[in-house]
Order: sequence, then C-alpha cells, then structure tokens
Amino acid sequence: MIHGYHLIVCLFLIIFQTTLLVGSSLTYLFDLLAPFVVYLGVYRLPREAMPILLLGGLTMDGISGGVFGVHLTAYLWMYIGVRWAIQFLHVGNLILLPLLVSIAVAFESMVTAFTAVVLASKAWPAESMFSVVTSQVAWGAVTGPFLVLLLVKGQNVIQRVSRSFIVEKDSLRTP
Amino acid sequence: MFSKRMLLVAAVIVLVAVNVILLTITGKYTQAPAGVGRGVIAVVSPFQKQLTAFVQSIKNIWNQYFFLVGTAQENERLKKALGRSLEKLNHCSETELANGRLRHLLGFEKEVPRPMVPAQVVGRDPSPWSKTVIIDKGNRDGVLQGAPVVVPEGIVGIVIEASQHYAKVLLLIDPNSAVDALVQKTRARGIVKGRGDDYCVFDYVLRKHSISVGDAVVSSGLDGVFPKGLRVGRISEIVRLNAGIFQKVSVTPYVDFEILEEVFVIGRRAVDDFSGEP
Repeated sequence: MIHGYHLIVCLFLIIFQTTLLVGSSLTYLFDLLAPFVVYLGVYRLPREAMPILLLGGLTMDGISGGVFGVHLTAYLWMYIGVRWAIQFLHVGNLILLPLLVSIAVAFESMVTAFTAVVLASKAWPAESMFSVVTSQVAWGAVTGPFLVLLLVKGQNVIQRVSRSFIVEKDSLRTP
Repeated sequence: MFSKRMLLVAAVIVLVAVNVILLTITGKYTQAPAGVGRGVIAVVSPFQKQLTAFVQSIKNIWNQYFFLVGTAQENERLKKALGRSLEKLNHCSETELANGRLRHLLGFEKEVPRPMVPAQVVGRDPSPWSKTVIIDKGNRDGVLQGAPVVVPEGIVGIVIEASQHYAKVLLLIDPNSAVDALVQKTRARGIVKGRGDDYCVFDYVLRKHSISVGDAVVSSGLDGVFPKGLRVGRISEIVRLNAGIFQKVSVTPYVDFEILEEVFVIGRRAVDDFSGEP
C-alpha cells in the first residue's frame, strides 16, 4: 500500500509541476520532487525508496529538455546524502528539517544549473546561474518543509488504514 | 593497507567522476537514449492532457461567464482592427496575384504548401534551464522529429522527440535553438539563437548592414527547417562595437511563450505525386 502511495505522490507531483506550476518567468519554482526525496531519505528504507527514485528520475529526465540523467543523478545523490546526514542529525527537529530541505533544493538546483551551464551542448550564460539558484533555495526553504510534513501526514494515514485493514482481515479469519 | 573510510571516499570520488562523464556524454544529445523519453512522454502526457483540459474548462467558464467586464470596449476596438486588417488583406491579395503572375513570367517553381497539424500544449518543462513543451500530437498524426512548430504570431520551435500520440517541442528561446533569419526590410542575414530568458540574440549580422530597433526579423528558409518568411521577432537592441565585423543584436520574439496553448506543426512537403495526374 505504501508503494502505491509513493507512486501516486510521485506522479502527481510530476504532472502538477509540468502542467500547472510552469511559466518561463517563474524561475524561483524549485523541483517539487526534492522535498519528496528528503521525505524518502528520512522516513523510508532504501528498498522502498530506490524504485520510486529511479522511476521519478527517469520520468523527469524524459519530460525535461535538459541533459538526460541529471534528475536521476540529483535524486540518487540527494537520497544518499540524506541517509548519511540522518546518522548525525535529529531531523524531526523543527529547525533541522527545513535546513535539510533547503540543502536538498540547493543541491538539485546547482546540479541542474551546472549541467545546463557547463555540460550541455549549447551552454547557458553563467551569470543567470546565481539568481536562479538563490531564488529557488529561498523559495524551497520556505515551502519545502511544509510539503515534507504533508507527505509524512499522508504516510501516517496510509499506514493506519493498511493496519486496520490487516486487523479486519485477521478478525474475519479467526472463527 | 587502506582504511575503510579511505576506500569509501575513493569509491564516492570514482562514482562522481563516472556520473559526470555520463552526463557529459548525454549532454551532447537533445534526445533521451534508447527511446526512454518517448516512453515517458507516452505514459505521462495523457494525464497532463486531462489536467490541462480540466484547467482550461475552468478558465473558459471564468472567461465566458464571469469575466465580461470591458467586453463592449474590446468588441469596438476589435471591430476597428478588423476593418484595418481587411483593408490590408485586400492589398496583400492584389500583391499576391501580381507576385504569382511575375513568378510565372520568370519561370519560378510553384510553391507547394505544406500541411499544418494543429496541436494543443499539454505540458511544460518545470526546470528554468530548459525551454520545452509537450504537445498532444505525435507520429500517428504526422508530427515527425525535426518538424517546425508555429503559431500565427510567429515561430515557436522545433519538434525534438515524438512518440505515437505526443511530441516534445524545443522552444525558440532555449539556448539550443537556432533559426537562420534575415531582417525583413534590409535583408541582413544572421542566426537567431535562444538566450534562455524571453529574448533571443541575432548573431553574425555584419556591421555594414543598416538595421534599426523595431525592424521585423523573419526566417530565411536557408536552414532547411523553417520555411522562408515566418515571423521570428522584432529587433529590440543593437550594439555596434568599435571592433569586430558583427553587430550585437537582441530580438524580442513575437510569440508570447508564457501563454502558449495551441500551436501548428508544419508537416513535410508532399512528395511530387504524378500518378494522380490525368
């Protein structure tokens, strides 16, 4: 059930941000999958998170016109980084969670900016990098943690529902 | 000999290096490898289309029933504009007929019109680093990779990837885009390239050509992609440096890429078919 939840959330975020949250002047809008990857890193095990990371990364790379593999790269390294960070940080803390989300948004923004400015076949002007990255990080720091909290709430609801479903099933089995 | 930590650091460095090399290789191509992009577009785009249609219907309800303030004034203004356009159209029709007669006299080859496929924009690239949109027409509808995409205002871009029912379009404002163009009035030639923001640069325009701000830039047809005479934009800035043989020219596209909803994909010119002739 939790895999279904992750799949639906991942596809919803991708479709939402490629259909509604777009416009060439809205450069401050960060990738909504960055807080989702933080959520997966903090709250889910690698065997649960990896398939959804691969799917989300490949889907974003397929839709996007940027360098192929950049989203997949960003998500995988971001996940590894979050898993490493939670060994030292108590991320349930109200200050550390926004910090982690901000770092994740900054990391993804910088990776995509780096590939666009340095690695792409026709590079972007480097001077545009700073303003885009800073505005995305600022916006991510403000709104990203709320998205993570929303995802955690959703996860708790799904787990509660699946637990009650199992209990109901067991009670039906017992004579 | 090596500590566990050292091995871990070495492994991470190797992985990062391999990752950067792979990204450098894929960065040289605009298309995703092994049809991944086409597969993803085929799966995700139907959902995008449904959501876009839903949002569009809500917008239509708002625009058609609630947001009618100022419609009378707009109607009056549009009637006047229509009158001016009809007058211009009449003049153009006369010029077209004269042009046809003269071309016939000079023995020019007759221009074959290319088929146009109307399509709706169903999705956009969320990243500010790439300017692409997804349209709801693909190979089955005659939309092929490399086909030019236009709207009545001018050039939109080029199809870079097409699945059966959907296609990805690289917009004119993306740095990967380039159109061979000329200034309509003076015929000064150059290449219009995307800059990433809402403007383009007009490269390789010789200093000797006299051009001015506000001049229209149209496609030259020499790139073999865009037909001749399509509107690209108007010149918004000219910088003539003391040194160098080219001038630095900025172009504002006629198309507003923010509100792009419907586009036309120009199909390939039909191969001359003599079998049907009497």
